[in-house]
Amino acid sequence: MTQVTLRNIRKNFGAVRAVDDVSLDIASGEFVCLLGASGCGKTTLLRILAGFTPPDAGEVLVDGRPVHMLPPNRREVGFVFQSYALFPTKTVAENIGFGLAVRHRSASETAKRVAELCELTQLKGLEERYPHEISGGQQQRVALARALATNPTMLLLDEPLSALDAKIRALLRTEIRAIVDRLKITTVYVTHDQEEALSIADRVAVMDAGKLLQIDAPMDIYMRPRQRFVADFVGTSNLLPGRPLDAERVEVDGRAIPAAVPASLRAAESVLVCVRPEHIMLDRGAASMPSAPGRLKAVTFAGATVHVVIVTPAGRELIADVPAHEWQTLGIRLGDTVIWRVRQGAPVVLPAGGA
Amino acid sequence: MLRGIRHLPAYSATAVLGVLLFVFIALPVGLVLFESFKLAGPIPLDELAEITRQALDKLEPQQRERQTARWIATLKPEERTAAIAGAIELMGGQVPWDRKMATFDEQEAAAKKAVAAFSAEERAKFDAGYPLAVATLHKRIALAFMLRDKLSPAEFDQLREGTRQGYGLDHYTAVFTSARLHKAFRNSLLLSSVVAMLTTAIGFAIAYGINRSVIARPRLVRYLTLVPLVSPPVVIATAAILLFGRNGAVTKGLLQDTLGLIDADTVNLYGWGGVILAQVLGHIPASFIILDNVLSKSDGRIEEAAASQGATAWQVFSRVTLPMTQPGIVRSLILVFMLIMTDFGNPLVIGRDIPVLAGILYDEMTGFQNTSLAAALAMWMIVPALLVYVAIERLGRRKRFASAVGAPPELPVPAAARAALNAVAWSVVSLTILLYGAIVAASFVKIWRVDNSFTLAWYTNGEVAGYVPDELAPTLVWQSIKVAVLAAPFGGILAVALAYLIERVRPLGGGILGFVAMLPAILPGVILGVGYVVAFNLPFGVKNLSLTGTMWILVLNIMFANIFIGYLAGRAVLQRYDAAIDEAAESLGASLWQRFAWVTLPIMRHALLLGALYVFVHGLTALSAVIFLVSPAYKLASVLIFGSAEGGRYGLASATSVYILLIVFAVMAAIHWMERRGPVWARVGALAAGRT
Ligand SMILES: Nc1ncnc2c1ncn2[C@@H]1O[C@H](COP(=O)(O)OP(=O)(O)OP(=O)(O)O)[C@@H](O)[C@H]1O
Ligand SMILES: [Mg+2]
Repeated sequence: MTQVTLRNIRKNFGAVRAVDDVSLDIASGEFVCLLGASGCGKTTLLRILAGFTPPDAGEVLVDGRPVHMLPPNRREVGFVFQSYALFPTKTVAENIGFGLAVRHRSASETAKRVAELCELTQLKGLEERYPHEISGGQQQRVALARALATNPTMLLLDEPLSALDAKIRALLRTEIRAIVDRLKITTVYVTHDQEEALSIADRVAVMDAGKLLQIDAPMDIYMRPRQRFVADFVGTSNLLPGRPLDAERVEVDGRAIPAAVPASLRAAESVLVCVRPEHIMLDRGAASMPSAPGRLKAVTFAGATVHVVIVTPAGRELIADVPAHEWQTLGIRLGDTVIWRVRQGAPVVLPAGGA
Repeated sequence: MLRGIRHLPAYSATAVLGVLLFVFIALPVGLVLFESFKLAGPIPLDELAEITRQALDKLEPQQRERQTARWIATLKPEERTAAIAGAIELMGGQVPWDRKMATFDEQEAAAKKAVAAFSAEERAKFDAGYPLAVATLHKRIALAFMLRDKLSPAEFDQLREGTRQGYGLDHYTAVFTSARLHKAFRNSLLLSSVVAMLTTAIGFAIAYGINRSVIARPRLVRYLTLVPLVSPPVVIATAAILLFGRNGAVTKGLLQDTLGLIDADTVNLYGWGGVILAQVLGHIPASFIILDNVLSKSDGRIEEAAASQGATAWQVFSRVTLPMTQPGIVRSLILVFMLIMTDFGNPLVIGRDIPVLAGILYDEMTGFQNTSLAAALAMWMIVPALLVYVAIERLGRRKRFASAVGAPPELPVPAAARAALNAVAWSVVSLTILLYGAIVAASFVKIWRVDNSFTLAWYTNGEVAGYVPDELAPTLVWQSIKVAVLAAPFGGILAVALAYLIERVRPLGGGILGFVAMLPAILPGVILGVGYVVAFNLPFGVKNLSLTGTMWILVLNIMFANIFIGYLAGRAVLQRYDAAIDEAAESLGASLWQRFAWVTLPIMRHALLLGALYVFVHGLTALSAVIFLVSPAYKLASVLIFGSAEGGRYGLASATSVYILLIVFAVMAAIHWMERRGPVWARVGALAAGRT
């Protein structure tokens, strides 16, 4: 349907660089999540896409055509606000039909479309209620239905689920994804919840301090972060400073850890090795190489897994996740010495400097 | 460019509103300021006398003697009376007869009597000043021609016409140089200070009593206390005359005739007592609203904390409650002070013998068309209050206590204090009932306490005892309603549109627009009234644009002088709602107009209603601005009330007041009833749901 391109977008608010030279291609029908910490510029980027905020520099192209001349009410985008922004004096049906009403569509056409959307978003029976008479989750659905009613070319959602509790959030995000898949609409979804981003998006774009750091499929973002920030922000990582030994190994605190070193970093003085907690394996006694000793410092039980912290002889703390059933068979206590090793091929080697 | 396209409609709307606010608020106010420096009016009597004296001095002494003697001898009787009045004024005295209403014969007799009543010392002073008064008032033209060679052309014109052109601070300094103005200014300051303090004290007592649940029947007390807020002008002064005047029901009827305690001719409420009574009662609502607001929002836990640390009830009150309420008290003092400084209605009705600045402004405007002096006086009226306000801001003593909205303290109020608070509140309430009762009673009798037979004539054709007033209550009430009904909806819409633009669209210069809209809230009505006279008599020098004498000048004045309430209410509502609502509508394709009309207006319904109601009530009751704008062709009920009360036609004043009160209460009740039944949109929605 619609393909969107951002070219070198910049936006400053006074001294704050809210969006800093962001370029991004979104394929037609693609579902992209903007992920980043609070204040990193996600909302600003989304509002630039919608036309609410004019960028200081750069271009927004929709289907190859620049749209910066178009005010928001001509852009044909559906926008779902974090606060829903439902019209308090209008019923659910009037809220959903608003976009059609301002376009002077006939009453019967509007009613038909509203009925369709109520069906789609499971709002049947609530048509004549006012926003304050329905639940938060239902308000969210109304906001979505309203944004979709005019068949927009693009759907933009700004943290649409952040005001809801965890259970409904999980339910609604699968619903949103299903609806978007059915309509095949190009979607940009802002969130600071990484689990949400990873589970819902075709591609995740990670932002920090106005910059777009990495945009990749969710699995790649997690498994193959390309920057320290991404590795740190998405999931939990042990980031270990080391020195490449060869193409397969990195030396960390005098021990070799198996990790594929990309060609660009082979000659580097120092690198960071990113080891996910679930890639560290524990054992009681001596084990095969490569393995190292450590002391068990802390244990937190978290249902299916057990988070443990071990301290290496060099004084480094490592976080490891052990499946609960394995932990029981290990039988280790606080203060015990353990043997740890890193799963073959799992660590990622990153440049050491800065982000 | 990019911003330009998106915001073009908003900027156009802002420009339109900006032009309206500029033309109908900023321009008149600015012109008053400008006018106040213009020295184009007649020269005040005492200055003119001085000019005449200097001219006389230019004559040879004997010629001067001869000439003045002949002038005095050849005076016509009416000229003589006027000269006596002038001489008395020049002595700094008060002319003891009515120079406008009384017939000529009465005036002449009164003048003779006044001269005869002088003490020897006064008589000497009078005799010395009389020739000058004669020359000043009646013979300047002759004098000017006699001295033509000895005077510069400017001096000649000035002497001949008694006016002058130019710019300067004379109108401002007149308050110090002219004995008459100086006295009035001192009276105004004294009256305003006394009334501000009394009113604030009583307003505080009632607000405190109600908020601490000490006063019996608090709802009734609250409502009755607020009645003067929506009353037509001078009702209380009129009622005070009916009850406590020379022929008052209480003073003459009860105390003199029945009980034989006093002589009502000497012991009555004319003068200071009456003015203070009328002004205090009339302004308690303003003070009460401010202090009630502060007291109801202060957190009672703070006072309870003080009490738990061992403070006595008095210590809690004086060291915790009072300081916490201080910002409200200061605001009340300043507001009431300003309102009294600028009010001329009550002083002119019940205190003609104590001249105040506002009364002189009224006389200068209506009697002498001396707009420039009036403008300067208007400025003088706000200067003291502004100075106090600025001083408070500068000294950094303006405190804002951002205490959480809390429940009132549950500390017991000592029995003596309870009794005192109840006494104050119920005295005010009883007095209010008594006074309004007197108005209703007077509206149904032919002539109050002279011919107490029942009549409906004041409400209908005004024909009482063979006398038919040229203005009738129903006619003017109807004209007032027309003006109020025209001004109210437009004023309300304009106010909320402005609030919407400033809160949501935030155009460049929005802050200035908001300030201009708020100007009438800060400036007294007389300034805007005088401003409209100056601005729209000959707008931009084009005769066809002149609004003077039309109904429209009244509609516009009432509308723009009162839009600030709807504007404030609108902004308050919008601040409570998410601004994203507007953006949501925009992203759904709504234009600026659709966003305003379809989304914002329904949200702001209450603000719109409140704004329109306020404009409506003011349209019916306002006096201070519109009195300068009415014309023989289009008058208003409030002006009729003032005029009849001042002229002693209390029946007509009362009946007109009752009309206005009934309409105001009916409209307020209707709105109250509408609101009680829930928001209109909910009802419309329910209806629609019922049909489908
Ligand atoms: N209108 C504005 N004026 C000034 N600064 C702004 C404005 N809007 C955003 N900012 C600043 O720009 C930066 C990015 O803001 P933005 O709202 O885009 O962050 P965000 O990633 O959406 O954060 P969150 O997750 O908290 O919503 C922040 O530092 C913010 O303070
Ligand atoms: Mg945000």
